[in-house]
Amino acid sequence: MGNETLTSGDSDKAILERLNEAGALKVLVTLDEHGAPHPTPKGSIRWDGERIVLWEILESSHTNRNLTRSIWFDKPVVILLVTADKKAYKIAARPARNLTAGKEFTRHYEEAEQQRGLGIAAVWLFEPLEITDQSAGTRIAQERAARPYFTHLDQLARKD
Amino acid sequence: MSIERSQLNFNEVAAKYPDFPRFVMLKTDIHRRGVNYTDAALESFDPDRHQSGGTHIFSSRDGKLTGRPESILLRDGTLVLATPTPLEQNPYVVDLIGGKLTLTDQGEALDEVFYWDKPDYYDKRTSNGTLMQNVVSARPQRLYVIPNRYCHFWTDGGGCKFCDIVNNLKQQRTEIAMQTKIKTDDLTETIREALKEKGRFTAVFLTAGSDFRGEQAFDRETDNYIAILQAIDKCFAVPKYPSQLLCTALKKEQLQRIYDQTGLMSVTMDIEVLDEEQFNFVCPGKAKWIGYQEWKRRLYDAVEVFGESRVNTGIVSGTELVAPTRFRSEDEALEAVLNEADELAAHGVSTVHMVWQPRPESDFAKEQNASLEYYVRLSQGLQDIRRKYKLSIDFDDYRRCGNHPDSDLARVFS
Repeated sequence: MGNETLTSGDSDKAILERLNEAGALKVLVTLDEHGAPHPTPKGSIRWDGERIVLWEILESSHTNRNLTRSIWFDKPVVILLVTADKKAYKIAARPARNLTAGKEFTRHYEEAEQQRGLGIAAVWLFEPLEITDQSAGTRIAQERAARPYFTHLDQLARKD
Repeated sequence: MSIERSQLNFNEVAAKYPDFPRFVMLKTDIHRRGVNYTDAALESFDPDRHQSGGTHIFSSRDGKLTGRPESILLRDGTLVLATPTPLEQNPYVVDLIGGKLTLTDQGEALDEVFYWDKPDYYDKRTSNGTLMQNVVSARPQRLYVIPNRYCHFWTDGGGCKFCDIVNNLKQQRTEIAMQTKIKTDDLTETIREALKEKGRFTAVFLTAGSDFRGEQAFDRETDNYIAILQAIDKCFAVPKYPSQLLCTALKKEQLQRIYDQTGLMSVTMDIEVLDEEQFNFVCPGKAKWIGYQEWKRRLYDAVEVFGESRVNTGIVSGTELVAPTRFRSEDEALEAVLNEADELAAHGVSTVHMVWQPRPESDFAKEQNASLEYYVRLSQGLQDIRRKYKLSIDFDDYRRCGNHPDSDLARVFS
């Protein structure tokens, strides 16, 4: 049961801050007991400066069960972040803590109730492990630089 | 006759059962061995913020009542219900390392742990001047009501041999002015106050000592539950709310009265030991007043009143191994216990187990609980049986209760 703190570099932190932007799409991908991916949009995901925070509304949800399995067996999850300017990032993270009671949970519960008129079942706190830029422009540039054989020749032909 | 027991240590059990979650295994072993707090850990304990022990139904393993943390939580939300245990009994130790409360074993840091936050109502008083924590105890998410802390089996010489309820009450009366019975107006006021804390509680739980008095046996106990539950009902806007009564195995008509006249949703009638011969030895009062087979029949009747997945029974696991048990090994005991649990489940009754923690003021103070491997196999076996019969254990799970490693496992299943 590792609990080491992983720190992100400044650029990673800047990306994590983008989780808090209006208009950002955040999709959490967990694995079920058979290893099948379970993707779910999670608008509540945000970066609090130290950890990624998720409000889980349904105690019986697939996500909640999969996250429990994930913290039990030390399996990472993935958050796909797509920003309003169409940048995409894959954030691999480890569930570090599940809050279901206590003052910190109550603070989140009251905030959720105020914002959405609905209580929450649990708060999940994640440590980011690795961030990958998945934006099409970035990936194309990376592939062209590193894998020059992966192309079609017509793409390279003279146009005149 | 000595019992053949598993000798595997924690790491060996973890390696042998890789699909069993380590958090739940750790909780199980903490329950089994107990816990102790270093001075540094106790210095970080803030009685204004954290919940102190002392008000619950059983005593601690070191015989002291107050002034220590109630217990701890693990990172995954797993609730640990272990009490302070003398160091010579080889408990886990909670220490303060690098500013973090840390669970250790033999000096090795295992993981960060957390004290329970104290509920807002705990230090308030009712209009009668009663301290609210003495009216309703709390677990992190459960309101724990004990309307009568005296068990009448003790006057009859029939108290369960693992139990210290009456001796604990004597200590509580002396040290924290605990009352044997609670007043209904105190109760209504306390529950109302507790419910003001947002997102804190998920269930109301009620338990008391057995009381065989009445026109027919246990009528007095039944009437008392109805009065107490009706005092709680006043605090809710709905006719039925998440609630659990742990009582003696009452007759069907007694259970029906409770169900019809109160907001209660589920019932637990602890048979304590899933073996008739051992039940008669460990629970002489229950054996005399009801009997093992009749206890099971009443559990089946309870399903007709409350419905499937709303009735269960608890066992104090490990007491089936105390001499003069008929079992020669843990393997033999486990097979017999799971066979009985299977039969109960076929009738809609779930079984949960509590890791037996021998307490100094009980008859079994000097006896030994079971091995970690036994408890792991038992937990997995009980959860597998629930899945086989599609029984839900929502009302007595990691959150509504937290005292059963087997129902902790239900967290990852629909």
